[in-house]
Amino acid sequence: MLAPAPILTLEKITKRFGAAVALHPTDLEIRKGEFIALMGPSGCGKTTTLRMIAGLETPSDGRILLWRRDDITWAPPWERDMPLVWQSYALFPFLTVLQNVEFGLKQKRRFTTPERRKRAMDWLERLGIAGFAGRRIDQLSGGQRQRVALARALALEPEILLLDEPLSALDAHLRLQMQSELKRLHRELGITFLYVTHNQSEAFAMADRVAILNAGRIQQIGSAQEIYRAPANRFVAEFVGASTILSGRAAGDGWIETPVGRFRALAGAAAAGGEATFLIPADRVDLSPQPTGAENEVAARVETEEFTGAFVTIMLTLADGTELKVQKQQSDLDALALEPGATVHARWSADVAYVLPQEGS
Amino acid sequence: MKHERRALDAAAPIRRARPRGKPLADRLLGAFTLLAFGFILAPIVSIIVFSFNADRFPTMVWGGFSLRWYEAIWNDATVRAGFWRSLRVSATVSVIATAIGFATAYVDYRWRFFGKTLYLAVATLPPTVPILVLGLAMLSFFSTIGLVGTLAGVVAGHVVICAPFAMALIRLRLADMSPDLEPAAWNLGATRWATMRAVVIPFCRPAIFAALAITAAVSFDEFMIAWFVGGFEETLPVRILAMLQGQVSPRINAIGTIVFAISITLVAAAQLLTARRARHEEE
Repeated sequence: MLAPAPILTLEKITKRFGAAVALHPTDLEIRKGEFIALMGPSGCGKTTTLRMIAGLETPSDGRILLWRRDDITWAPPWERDMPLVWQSYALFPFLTVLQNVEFGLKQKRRFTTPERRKRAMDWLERLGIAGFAGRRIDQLSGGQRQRVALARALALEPEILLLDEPLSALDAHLRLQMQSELKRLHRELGITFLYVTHNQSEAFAMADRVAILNAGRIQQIGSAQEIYRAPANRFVAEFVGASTILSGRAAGDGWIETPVGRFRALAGAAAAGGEATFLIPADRVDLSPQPTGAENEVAARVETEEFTGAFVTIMLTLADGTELKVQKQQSDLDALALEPGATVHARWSADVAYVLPQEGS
Repeated sequence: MKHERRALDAAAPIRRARPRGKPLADRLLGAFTLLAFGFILAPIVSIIVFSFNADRFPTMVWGGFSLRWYEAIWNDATVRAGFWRSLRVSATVSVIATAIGFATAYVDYRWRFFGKTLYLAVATLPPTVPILVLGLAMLSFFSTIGLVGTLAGVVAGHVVICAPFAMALIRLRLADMSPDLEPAAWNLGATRWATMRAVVIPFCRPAIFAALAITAAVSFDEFMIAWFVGGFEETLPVRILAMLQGQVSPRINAIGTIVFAISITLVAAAQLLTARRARHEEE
């Protein structure tokens, strides 16, 4: 199958604020119709990237292309047709809900007043807030405002929708609800969503592809699966936080000598020699009260247990104090009767222990 | 520290639950406040009252209700002319000063630039200059450019002292405007100019109306600049002083009452506009 054409291409796009570099030269191709998330800690350059795409910030260097054809690097924001859903919603407080949604259509001067009104009402309907059309913005709850902001952007029927941490002001329950709603809208509309967030559960739950940024550089781009199972480097592995990271000397045939023991890691890059770092996925670790004599086995002390629904995250410490993260189903733990301070034996298959690529290679 | 804070919080309801009777200090303070207000308002009240007195002299003996002094000023062509001049001047001044004030406040809101502190200092300077100095300076400057003795000169002088008030009011309102609001309008396809019309001005509307009212009020009863610069184009306050120099007549009371009514209406309008906004925001 032919890869879909990139709707938006960033070429060596760069942003400097004085001496500080917000974004190092970055290339990124955004495919038509995909849901792509830019994710990273605050100050990683994700919002700067989004603002440059929207035209609210001018790049220090590089180009932004539409369909690999039109250079929009210097186009003013009002000519870009890429509506943005703001973290603060940025709704107009002196207008009603309906007038807010009509705002963008009004600027286009292509519609008669009844057409405009109808189209705005249709979007309010679609987002389930048609009943609030005549309300003032300050009479709405956070979740309702969020929907108005979405309707206002979508009423322009754009090819690309930009979203800047749109769910961060909502409580957990509403956030989940809006997540599935955004996902559904994306599927139904078939347009491109570019979503900026620091929240990995949002990014992984919704996006087809996630780009992880840190310190002004893209660290990895891939599906949630790829990033989860095969992180490109230590930063990504730590940011995702789903594994324990151990370092040691490669001793050939997949064996790695670490301060807490000798382990075999066969997934990922081959540990050829010298320093090697590998990951132990938290959900692939088995626990038992007695040693079983398996290949990768280590004694550990139970520190804490944290319940998140059906899953339990257990923090263990190894002999030298390194933390080992384990994730288990509640039902698997009943037989173990874990107590803080108790000793357990943790083991994992060499096939799931993932060796990180050598840094800088 | 945290524990102390909590202890204080716990004590608060007890303090509030103390017996209701007002202590002496509170009563004295109330009386003092009343006295102060009386001292400020008594002359104004007496002007208003005696403007309706039929007698020639303001004595404690009431000579009966009458509108004769109002009739007298209505029939006095110089007073009528002064009144219309003042009205025209203040209407023109309020529009120009508010426009300048809005532009000044918006520049301060929108851009960061070198020398901004100086810019703001200059923009707010005029009301701090003694009005006598300002009037004299304008007289000497306007005489070189032929503005002395014209209403245009009076308007120019009043704009200088009024624009900072307009700027202060509008700047206060702009400070409440989310920095995302304008970019959001651009993002939805509105040009800079369309955003100014459809977002910034509507957002500032209550402050703009308040500024129009306040600047009109300041200009309407301003004396010093009008006296220095106006020449024979006497505004109402200038006319009043001229009349006072000639004779003490109860007509002054009638004029004073009208001037006071106009000023207080404008100020009250401005107050109402800003207060209604504050209530909106609290909801």
